[in-house]
Amino acid sequence: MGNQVHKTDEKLSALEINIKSIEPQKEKFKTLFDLGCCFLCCYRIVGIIPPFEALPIFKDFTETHYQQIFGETRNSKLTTTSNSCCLACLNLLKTENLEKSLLQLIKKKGYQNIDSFGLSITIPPSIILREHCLSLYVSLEPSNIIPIKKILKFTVFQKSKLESALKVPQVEFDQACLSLKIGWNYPNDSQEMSKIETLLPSSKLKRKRKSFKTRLRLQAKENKILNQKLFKQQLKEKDTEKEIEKENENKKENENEKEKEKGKEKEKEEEEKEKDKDKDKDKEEEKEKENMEIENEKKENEKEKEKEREKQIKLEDDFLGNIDPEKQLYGSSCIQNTLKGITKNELGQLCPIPPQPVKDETNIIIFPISKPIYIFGRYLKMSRNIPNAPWYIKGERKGNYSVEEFVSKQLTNLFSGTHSGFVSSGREDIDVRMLGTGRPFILEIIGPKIYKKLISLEEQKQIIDQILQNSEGLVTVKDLGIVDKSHRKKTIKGEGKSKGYRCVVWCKCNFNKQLFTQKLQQLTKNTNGTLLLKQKTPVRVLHRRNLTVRQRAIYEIKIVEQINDNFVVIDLITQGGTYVKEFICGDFGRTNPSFSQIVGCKSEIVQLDVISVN
Amino acid sequence: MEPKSTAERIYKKEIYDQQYVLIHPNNIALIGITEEHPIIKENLEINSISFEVNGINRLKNNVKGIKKKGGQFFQVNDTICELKCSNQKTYKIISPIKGKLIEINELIISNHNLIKQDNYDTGFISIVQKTMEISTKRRRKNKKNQKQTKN
Repeated sequence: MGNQVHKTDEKLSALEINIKSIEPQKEKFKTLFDLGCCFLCCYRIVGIIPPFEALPIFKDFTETHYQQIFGETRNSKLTTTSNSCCLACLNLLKTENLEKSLLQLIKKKGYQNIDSFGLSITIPPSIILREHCLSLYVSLEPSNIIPIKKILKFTVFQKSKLESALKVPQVEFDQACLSLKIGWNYPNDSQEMSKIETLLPSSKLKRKRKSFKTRLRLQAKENKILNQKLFKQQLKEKDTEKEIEKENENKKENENEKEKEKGKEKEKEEEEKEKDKDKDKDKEEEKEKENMEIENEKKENEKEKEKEREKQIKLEDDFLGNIDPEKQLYGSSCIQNTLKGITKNELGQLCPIPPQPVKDETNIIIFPISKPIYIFGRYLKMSRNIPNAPWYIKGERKGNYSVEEFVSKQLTNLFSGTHSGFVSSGREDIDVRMLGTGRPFILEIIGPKIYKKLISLEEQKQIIDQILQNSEGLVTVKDLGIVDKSHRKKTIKGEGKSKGYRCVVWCKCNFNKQLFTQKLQQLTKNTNGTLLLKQKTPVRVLHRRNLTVRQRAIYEIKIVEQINDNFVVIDLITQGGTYVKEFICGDFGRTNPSFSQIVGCKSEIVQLDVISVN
Repeated sequence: MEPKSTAERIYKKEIYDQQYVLIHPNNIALIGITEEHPIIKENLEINSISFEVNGINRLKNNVKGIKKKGGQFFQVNDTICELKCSNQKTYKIISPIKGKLIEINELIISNHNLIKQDNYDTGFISIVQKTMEISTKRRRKNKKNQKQTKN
């Protein structure tokens, strides 16, 4: 008995709370409720924050509650059928059993050992239209509407509920281990928004949004193409005029003049273009280098941000493709701003006021994105026939194997990811072996499902055995470990340090050790034993690099063994970025000083191995 | 037993009437003179080299960027430079291929004898980037694509 009294007391007190909060706008509340909005939406559109202590009532709303609040019986004509849903929120505020669906998804896809999760919610844009139309219908200001996301956070996506169900804390979307994108599929969305999309500015499309820089770049490209075409047209006109004039005169004398004039015109225009560009770049190289380094860092940071944005846009496309592939998404603030400038009469011609009832057909869609894992290691290559990365010539693949594929397959299978990205600090040619310490690399696994903090020794052994089997003993891996994202930059930048090589050299004349060491000492008197080089870009690389002079240093040259009068084995320790093959053969005289100059005759490199990468 | 030099292993040699062209698979070529040129056969001394041809100075060739913009174009049989020898004859050096001039050998300017002594290695004359030849079918395709992007 006592318990029942308490329950009824609680219910009445909740109703009283509701009655008190409705009082300032009671009539408008009633009209909205009779049209077919749910209780919470009526609070939202009127502009009053609903009392959250009284929320559980709205599930079993009966006519007695209606009478107690408004003092009237419900008008049966205006009631809606049970199949239809709320006009304003399309039953989003009534989603139930969200935790079950989340847990089912996690089981189905096979995620394990998750640390944290994060949410991001997207609303179908026709809801904003409907709110706006309803508030205009009731002659209220649409800027007073409470947005639907605020209420969703307290009712459906309550933090404590989700955390207790998933047993894992909730974190921001960008930093979470498993981030979930949630959306709703409303099938009539494109129809309702079709007439207003023409008024929305196309520069604010969410899906096709490009950064300011890319827009400038594309504009400049178009302008260039237009200018080039105009330029060519002008040239043609000039040529035709000249031909007509000179056909009447003697032809032989004028043909020579024509060629000269054409050549001069082209060169003048090219020089003018260069002058316009050279004005900004007339500085010394040493001063430029410092500025270039700072600028390069900024450019790298910006490039990384753009890449991440592109990745997100790709993932969003996959997500939105499930909803409606032909839909164009606009942000809510953009739609609100455009609707401000339209009067009620104009809106009435575009879409119905008040909005029409719809069946309850919206579905919830959940799209999971998992955080990538970064693995550090060092690889060794014992063959002279395997390239670093897959090699394509004119669309066709040359060779069947590559170091990248051997290493990345096994590791992605461990974490069951979709694909991976391979980055190493420097590369080597196809006919050069990588021995000794190994070259450091970082592997980024995208879309992993199994999370770990360590790679145990047994797993390392298994991976190494499998890689050796697949590659027939030619590629191995060392020192594996899981790292943060910040290590990626360090490995790429670590190319400026020293490297060790061993090479077999052939000389045309007889090689004399004493003469060689004497000459070396003469050249390195002032610099404590290091040889300073000046290298122009070698001819084998000129098609994809600038023509510049590079200053490099060689820290040590040791003669290990003299096999013959003509064959010698040498150890080198050099600065990162030197072209070793060109140092030894001279590259048609474009590296000074070179090994062949020190010895006094031609020398060629026969074999090369990389021994240490520091 | 001598291993082959890099020039013999990798580069393709083409001989055009007392001049050679060494082409690398990446379409960059070196131009120089062979042993049948009278400068080497008759052992003439070179007094001076002039790089001004038809009003263009070959030494003022500035090349920028990966695509080598600003280089001077060569058609077939354009002169690169003129060598004035001790027997008061001038020999022209022409480019037998179409392409863009990237660089002229700087070692020649100070030491004229390198052209005789080491004509295949350090005595080359210029580096030229060869223009790729497009077949007529491809040219028509490219024109069609350009017209479509216009519209």
